[in-house]
Amino acid sequence: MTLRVTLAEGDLKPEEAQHLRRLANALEPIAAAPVAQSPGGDRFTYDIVVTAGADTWQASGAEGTLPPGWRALVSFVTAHGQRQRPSPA
Amino acid sequence: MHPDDLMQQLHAGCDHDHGICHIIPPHIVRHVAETASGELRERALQSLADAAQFRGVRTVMATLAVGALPAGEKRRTIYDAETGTDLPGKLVRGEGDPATSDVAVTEAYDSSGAVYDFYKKVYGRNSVDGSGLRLNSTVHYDVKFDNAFWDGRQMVYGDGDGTLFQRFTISLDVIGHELTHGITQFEAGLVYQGEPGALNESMSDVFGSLVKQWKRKQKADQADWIIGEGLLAPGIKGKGLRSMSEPGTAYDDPQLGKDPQPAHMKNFYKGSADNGGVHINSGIPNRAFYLAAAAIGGFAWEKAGRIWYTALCDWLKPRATFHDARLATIGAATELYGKSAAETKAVKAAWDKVGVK
Repeated sequence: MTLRVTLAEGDLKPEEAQHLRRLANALEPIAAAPVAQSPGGDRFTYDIVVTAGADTWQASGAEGTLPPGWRALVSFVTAHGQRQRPSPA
Repeated sequence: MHPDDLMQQLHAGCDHDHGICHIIPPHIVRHVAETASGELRERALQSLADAAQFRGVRTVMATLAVGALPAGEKRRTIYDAETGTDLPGKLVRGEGDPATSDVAVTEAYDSSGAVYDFYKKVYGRNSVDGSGLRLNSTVHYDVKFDNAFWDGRQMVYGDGDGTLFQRFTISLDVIGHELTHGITQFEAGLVYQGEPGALNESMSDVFGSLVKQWKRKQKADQADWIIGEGLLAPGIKGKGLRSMSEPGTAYDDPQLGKDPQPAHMKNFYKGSADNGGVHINSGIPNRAFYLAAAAIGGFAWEKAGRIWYTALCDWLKPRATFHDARLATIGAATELYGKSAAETKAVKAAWDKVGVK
């Protein structure tokens, strides 16, 4: 099941929007090679897209492999964003 | 030194041969495990077990001077991530500690105990690794986290968003499912991709369901065969996450969508999402198990479950396909009950019915 959450800066209170900008500005570069999957089951895989004006940043990774800055962004978006209808895969 | 400071250092350092790092060398950790008591000893033991697990070694306890814990003794530790993502989090309940007012903590503690008891009493297995590995669970992971998972060392549970899902500790079958990922890791090591990944998922559903049936003393024809019973939020149209008896029917809801699982190879998912459909195509071996269990009758953990457990421990290899699983379960049934036994015939017929040759 794919769960989608979107968040626009304009939907937030000023201090929350500022926090979102700080999170986006602190994102680490993502390594070109994917991190090897460690043992486990049922981890989420995140596909994250950040758009700011004409600029776009993207990252993908399983739970536990995202750099801290990206994981913090995921948590913030999940807590404050709008959920869309899940899709089967 | 405060125990927390010592333990922080136990989890850092360098073993260049295995890419594992410790500031405090293993022989000091071992000494602590042998001579300390209480929480300090417990965490030293866990540190040794963690390092051993990364090296693929199972029998850490057997090498310690004080010897292993008495056989069959479960050790549960529950942590609270307090809506963060750092694991394991704050220790909130250890083995034998009284219950707290946190229902997620209580559910994780009670249900991981039930899973341990099931495997010990039914199959003689002492915990996830067969050697009494501590069962660590973290609850309240992240904010509105719609998932539970096994991270290779412990279980992790979210609280759900309240709209689609409730807290993930609410289902005994989910907790059984996650712990069984640990068992699969130590046994067949089924790769989490494509068909072996779907088998990995199916094994977790099989034994997650069996734990629930065992706890409720239900026979195969009395069980609901639902994974994630009680997990869906109020108002969501569905019975749970997956149906083993009728894949594809667990939910159909405007917010959640429709259960995509196939019940037969003719509808096998061939896409790349979900690691090649590990949660989708698991419907096929799930139904095979249900059909075998229903045909054999009685308590499903006794014969069908034993066949599947034997296949998992003694027959399956990491890259097993559905065809391999058919051969493995028929082989296990033959070994246990005989080539012409009703049980063996039931297993063959089950795989035939889901289209796995």
